[in-house]
Amino acid sequence: MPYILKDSFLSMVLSVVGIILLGSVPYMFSGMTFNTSGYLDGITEMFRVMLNPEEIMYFAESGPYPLFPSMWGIYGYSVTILFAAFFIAIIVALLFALFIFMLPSSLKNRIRVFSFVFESIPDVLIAIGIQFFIVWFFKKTNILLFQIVSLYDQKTYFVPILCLTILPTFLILRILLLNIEEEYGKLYVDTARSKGMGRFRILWRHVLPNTLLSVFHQSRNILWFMLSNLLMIEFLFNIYGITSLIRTSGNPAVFTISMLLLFVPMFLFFTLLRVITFKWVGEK
Amino acid sequence: MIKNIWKDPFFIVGFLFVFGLLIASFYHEIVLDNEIYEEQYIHDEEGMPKEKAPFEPSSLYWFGSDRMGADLFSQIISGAKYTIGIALVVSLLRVGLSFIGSFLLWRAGRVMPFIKGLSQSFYYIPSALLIFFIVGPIIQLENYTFWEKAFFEMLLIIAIAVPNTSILIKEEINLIEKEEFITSAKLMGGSRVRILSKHILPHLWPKLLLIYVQQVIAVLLLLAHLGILGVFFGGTTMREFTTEYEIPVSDSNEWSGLIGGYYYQLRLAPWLVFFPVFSFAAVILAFNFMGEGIKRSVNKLPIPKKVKSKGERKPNISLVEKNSFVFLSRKKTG
Repeated sequence: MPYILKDSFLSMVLSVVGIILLGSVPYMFSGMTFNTSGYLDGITEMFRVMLNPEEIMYFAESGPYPLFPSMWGIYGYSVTILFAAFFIAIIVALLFALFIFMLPSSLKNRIRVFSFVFESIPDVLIAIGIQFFIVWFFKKTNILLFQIVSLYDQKTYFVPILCLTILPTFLILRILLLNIEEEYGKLYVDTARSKGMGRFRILWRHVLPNTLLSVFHQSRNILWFMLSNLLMIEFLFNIYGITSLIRTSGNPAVFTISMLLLFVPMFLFFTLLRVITFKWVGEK
Repeated sequence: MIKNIWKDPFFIVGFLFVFGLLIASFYHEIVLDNEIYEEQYIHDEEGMPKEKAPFEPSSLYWFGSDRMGADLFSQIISGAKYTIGIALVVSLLRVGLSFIGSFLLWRAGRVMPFIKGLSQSFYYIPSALLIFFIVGPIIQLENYTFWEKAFFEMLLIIAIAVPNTSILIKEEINLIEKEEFITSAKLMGGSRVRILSKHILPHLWPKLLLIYVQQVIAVLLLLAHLGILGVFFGGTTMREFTTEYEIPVSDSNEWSGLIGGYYYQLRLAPWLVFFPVFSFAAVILAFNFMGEGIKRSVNKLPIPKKVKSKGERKPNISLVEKNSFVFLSRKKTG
């Protein structure tokens, strides 16, 4: 346990430094030529600004505004969408995995191919597809299923979360299916079976917890993948979230502070997962 | 092993699709002289204009057309070589540089946790946003030529993936190093270079190939994202649409350029955005198939020579013929 906390702390400090280094990259180029001294100055400036975040100004059309506290609403919105989609994806993928597991194996293979094909679809296509479907449905039936485009003060949750959920669900489903199969080849399943345990009980009590571990291991990749999806969805649905803020402002300080703010909940989540897995299986 | 991939149906399907697309693209370039059918009006039998561009997808325009009346299908075929070419070259450089990087990291020792920690920060920033954020202001500058900008953007796309891919390859090397045959090779007195070249590398190639395919997919996705965001390759020229109204047109018909160029027509002519994105999806799917094929065939042992099935294994000569033996009692003696 102390090892985990120490290691997590180190990786947190390094990640924060890394994000600041990346955020200062625009100072590195003047035009297209490298400007090393400019970069170093930029980094020191960035560290200073990060310590005094209330100084950061945001330039809108009507003039500069301080970024805080108006940032919190935007930030909360994006984080809500991101994490809601992540947890819904895990739950839905789990349900699907359980359901698919109950199916006969010939159907199972077909579903596996289907989910493989589906997983390859880029997020952009899904977001555009859903948009068109809603517009088409509206034209045909005059029923607006969901508010597609959100205005500044009006926040839509359903459609963005739906879009953001689809791909991770397939990703997690594939990880789950692969690992369930792998776990079933292990000896403890045979032992449990020979003791007369039911099929579903073995799955629920023994196999599933172990496969969930593999999802936890992959969660960093999944969330990263979802971050790029979030960028696309905020752009396509015209949502004013954190990535739109960065895109429209183009200011290195805004970029860095947003990324740091986005980093905090993700990092806490990963650390929590590490602690949980440690308590669970004693794995560092 | 790695030669098996040519027998794997997944790999072959994916490969044939990409290869066919490239062939079609070069055929279009060389034989058809890169000509894109363009007609602003569709005429009826009497020669009267019936419809005005943009046309919806139909049997004449498979993927529809833009406002100039240029056929989108030919545009996509023509742009395929650039998009796929960029993805292939960029990922090759990514993997190549990471391969060199992984050797630098191989013996990094105590510095390693720090490098790893720093490169973790890439996991908290969407790569398309990072590129957009760095390239965005530079691309708007007027005093650079198109090629300089494209080159710069490509360098960035390569650079942002190198740290994490290096670590990935280094971890693969470490996994191979733990195998028993490496220990025995060391005990036998093999030098480091020899162990690396004769024992580690043969096992690393298939993994590198898989990483390469995964990088191609990542680059394609990134290109699609950058296309949507409007930071794109392909070069833009303003073309006169009506006398006082100009619209941006992609020079090379590169796909992310097509998406970016047509994005503002999303509501008016949705197919113009849909089909380039769809093409990205198809190529990504094909590369996913190739990756799956590699994964499946790497774990397999070399395919054994065909074993005859039970039916074939029966000897042709029937050993026991009906009249080859008779009971002694019936045998006529003497």
